[in-house]
Amino acid sequence: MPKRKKKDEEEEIGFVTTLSVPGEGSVGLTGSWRIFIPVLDEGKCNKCLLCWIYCPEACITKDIRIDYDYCKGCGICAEECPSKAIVMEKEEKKE
Amino acid sequence: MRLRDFPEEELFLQGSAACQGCPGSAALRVAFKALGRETILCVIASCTSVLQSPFPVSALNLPTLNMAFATGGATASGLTAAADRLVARGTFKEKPTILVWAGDGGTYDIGIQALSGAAERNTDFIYVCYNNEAYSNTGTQRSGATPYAAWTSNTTRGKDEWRKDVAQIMVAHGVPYVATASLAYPTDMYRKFAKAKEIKGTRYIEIQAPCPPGWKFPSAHTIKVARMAVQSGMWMLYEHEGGKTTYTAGTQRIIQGQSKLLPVEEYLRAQGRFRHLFSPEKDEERIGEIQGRINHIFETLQFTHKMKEHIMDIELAPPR
Repeated sequence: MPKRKKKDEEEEIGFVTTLSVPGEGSVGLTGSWRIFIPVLDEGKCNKCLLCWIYCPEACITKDIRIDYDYCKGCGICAEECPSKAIVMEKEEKKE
Repeated sequence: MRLRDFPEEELFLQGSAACQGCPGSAALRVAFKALGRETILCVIASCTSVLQSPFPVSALNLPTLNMAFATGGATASGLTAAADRLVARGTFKEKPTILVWAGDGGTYDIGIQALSGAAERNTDFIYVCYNNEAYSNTGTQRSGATPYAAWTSNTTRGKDEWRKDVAQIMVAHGVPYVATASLAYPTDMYRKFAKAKEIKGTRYIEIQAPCPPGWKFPSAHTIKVARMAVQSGMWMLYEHEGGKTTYTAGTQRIIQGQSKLLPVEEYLRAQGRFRHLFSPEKDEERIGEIQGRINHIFETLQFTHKMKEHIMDIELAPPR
């Protein structure tokens, strides 16, 4: 009968698991999903921050800069902007 | 709390797998801002399991457990017990907030048994139901939260039953805090989450989440539809604490008579899932039934509000 190993002789057994690591762009650059692109007119913007909090993708920073790499072009910012400083325009994709 | 005072840190990362104009990710952002980094998240099978993106990268920058449909309350009970033990042992300095994030399918239909059990034990956790009123993840099947007359893929001529109200079921459990929130009122939602964080015991928050592909409206209208739901009385904002219900934001303004109730027809017209009520011919009967219910609820609330003011006047009047 094999003897039970002492504690300091025990091997460490690793295991494989599906552990995801947080990171930006988990499904790639989602900006390629976009058909209409939000364009900001800084002259009209009164920094009310509504677009910042309503953006579902966190693509507008608190100092109102739009991240076109990840913006999916849903158009919520343009719809909700009270001073109409953001307008959706048809995007011309570069091939 | 004003918008400019909200923390800048984003715990929901860009480039997730969510649809354009997804209400779930918009709600997650506000919730994470209010709860902060010291949070353990438990995601119940729902759209959030999808939008957090495929292995090996996750869009949620918090420790996250993905659990089965029926296990919301049970998982939270286990997590809370483990966190308590680790605090007693000194591994954790402070107890983290345990947050369960479930959809309406995982709350109204499949998960209610575990939730009810956890609420009865007054387990120390926050349960969030983001309610998009159907099983949108699997192709918009009807759920217990689907409203009367709404199209889903298995109620093609409109649902025949009225939705149940799980927030009121949670009130009946006597838990310390129950609140409803809307995406269109982010400051109100943030305040409710920040308040819930400070309370001990089971806390239940329900967010209405208008889903562009499921409710059939353009992705830009997510916030607009959420706002119309509150203004038309189809969704009510309140918090229940210490045996007392307080109406907040848009709903409070309607009850106090500062703004008028939007005709429910405008809310229904904004969504493709109610299109069969307007074409080929207008279904006055079913629209009237919905409007009648809302009117009844708000007339009662407005009357109670007026009576309270009246009673207050009597109490404050000097004795003669």
